[in-house]
Amino acid sequence: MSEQPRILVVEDDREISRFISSSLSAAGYSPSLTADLAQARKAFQEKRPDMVILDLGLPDGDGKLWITELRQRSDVPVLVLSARQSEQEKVACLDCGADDYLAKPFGVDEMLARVRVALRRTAMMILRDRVYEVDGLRIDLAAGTVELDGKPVKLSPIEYKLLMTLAQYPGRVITHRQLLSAVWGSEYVDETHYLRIHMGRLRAKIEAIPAEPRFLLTDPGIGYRIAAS
Amino acid sequence: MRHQFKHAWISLLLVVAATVTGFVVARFGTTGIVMLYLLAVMAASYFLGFFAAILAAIGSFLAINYFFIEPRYTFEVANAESWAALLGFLAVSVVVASLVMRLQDQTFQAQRAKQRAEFARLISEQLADLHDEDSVFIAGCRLIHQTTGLPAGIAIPDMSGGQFTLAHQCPEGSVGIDHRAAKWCCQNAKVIGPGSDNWPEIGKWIIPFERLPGVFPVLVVMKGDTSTDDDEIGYLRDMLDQILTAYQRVRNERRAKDAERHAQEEAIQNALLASVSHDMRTPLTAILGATTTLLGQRAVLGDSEQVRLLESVRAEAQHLANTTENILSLSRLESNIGRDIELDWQSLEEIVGAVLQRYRNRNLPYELRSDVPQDVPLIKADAALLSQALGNLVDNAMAAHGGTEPVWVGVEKCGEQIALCVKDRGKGFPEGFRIEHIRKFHRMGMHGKGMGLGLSIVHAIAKLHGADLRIIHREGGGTAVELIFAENQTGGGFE
Repeated sequence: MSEQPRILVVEDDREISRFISSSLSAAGYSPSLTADLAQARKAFQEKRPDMVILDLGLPDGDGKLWITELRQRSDVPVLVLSARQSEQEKVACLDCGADDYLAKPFGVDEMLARVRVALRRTAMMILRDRVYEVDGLRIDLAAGTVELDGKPVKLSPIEYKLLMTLAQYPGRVITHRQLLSAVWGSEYVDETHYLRIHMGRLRAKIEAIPAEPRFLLTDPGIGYRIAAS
Repeated sequence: MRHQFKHAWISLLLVVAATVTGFVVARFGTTGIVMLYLLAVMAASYFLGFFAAILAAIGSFLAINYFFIEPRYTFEVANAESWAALLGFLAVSVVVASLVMRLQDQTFQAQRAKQRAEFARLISEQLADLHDEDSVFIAGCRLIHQTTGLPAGIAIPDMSGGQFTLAHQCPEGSVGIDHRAAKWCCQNAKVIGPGSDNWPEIGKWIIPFERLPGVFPVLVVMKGDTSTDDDEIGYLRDMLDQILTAYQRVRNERRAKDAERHAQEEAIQNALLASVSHDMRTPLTAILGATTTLLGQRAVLGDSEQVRLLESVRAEAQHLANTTENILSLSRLESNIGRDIELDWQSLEEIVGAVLQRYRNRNLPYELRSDVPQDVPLIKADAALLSQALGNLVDNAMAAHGGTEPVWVGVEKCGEQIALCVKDRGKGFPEGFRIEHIRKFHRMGMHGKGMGLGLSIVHAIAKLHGADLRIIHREGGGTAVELIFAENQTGGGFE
């Protein structure tokens, strides 16, 4: 059995799947190519991939349905590829359980960076060390402590909950709805200005220059994520 | 009729009162007595009407003759002088009664004109703040009902003008539509109903909303009977004039808005077409040229030359991807111009941060820095669109920039306004360039690709947000492009 991480690619365009396959192989991954959902379901059972790269517009259905289906039994990272550019579409994918979203056209470098981030998150979860540590920011999810350059950071309960929610999934975009629901409760999912205010305060405490954040990154109109590296 | 009898009795009582008083003042002579009777006639004419005044005049004539002209207590008149005096009195009484009546009528008319003017002003004020046809119709029906007590409604025709639907009516009383009458009313642009020459027996007024024949709404006011009252019709006409004026104003406002939207759409379309040909053909030519060279002449090309051509293909493909994205954005924006987009409270710090993050991993020709004060209030915006606008401005600034200074992305507070700005030290925009030139602007001697398209998108996004786009020539060279959000778009500070 190969040591290389296995990546299931579900893409119906032959030219695109060819270059994705070549670049993944060259980067040290082991890709398997499928062109529709039926093949993808079968390949997922057989190959037990470490990650899925999924195109949305497939000949036998919308990839979003499969993400929902997949999430009921697996936590495998899913990177969505799509030519549909609207923010609503991205949010819908992420709310379904996708880890990340890459709009076409995209460069290989960008795709590989997203793959690395997604796999690193899995590695962190598998290790179960439950500690986020990037560039001097250390969040111990088990102990519930936050330190910046070795010094504890004083956070309000809301800021603490926000940071803990983001830190559970480094590099993954958490949509506004997901964050509001996790921190305030499901009846607050439309109060996005709460997020603006409290994320602003959190940036002021954690970031050296809040307008040039290193850790707390914004995906405008979609959500927030904490840097994975 | 009962009023007439009552007035007749009162006028006779006035004559009796004048007679009794006449006996009291008889020693002052007949002139005083005549004045008393004239006073009675004037009072009757002012308070009781013309008929009572004439009755008082005749009664006074007979009473003077019977009680005060010799031989007294008979209706005989002794001489021609007495006849002349009596007839003179009668004539003067009739003239005075007429004059008093006319004066009273003029006073009444003046009061009524004042009341109607006041009423018209009141209606006009009530309709002045309305800005859509539906509100004018609803308010109009309500006012008619409040003023006249008659149920009123607005009937809207279908495309053919043959069938009408009652779109609005006052809640009290029901309004019936007569399709044939309403169609005739529109086709002839004439009023139908009591007091008019057209279908006076129909039991309702149908009044067209336009003065020229056509297909348009009609006002229906239920009358119930065919009697006409000048006052009622007068008030109704005044009211309808005001409603029509408000309706026409609102309709013209809407048309002007539609025309403006069409002009904006056309402007964006022109910008698109002007930019598309250049921004897509150029990279496609470069890609085709590089790939055919690589495929056909690989044998004679050195390694470094092949890499250079491949890099050129990559750069041009990236540019093509950006252009395609911009064109798609512009079409999406175009379809939203003139509509309200959903805006939410956004943090400019976050938007600047997101745009800077996007550029962080790119190999930028110049440094990109931010300058955002800590206490910037939130603004009402669409975060994705605003990030796109800011990204386009940064792209343009990077393409135009020169020197060693960084390109600055920042937020500035100017009183109640907030400006999102990008500053470069580039060659600047051509002398005399104005925002309105954007649609014609296609690299007017500027460096950089796709600047016209990018700036068109920024302009469209600014319009959708009701923000001002300003281009400022910086001292010492370069440009500052600002998106300025007005006071009512800002608020919701961090505290």
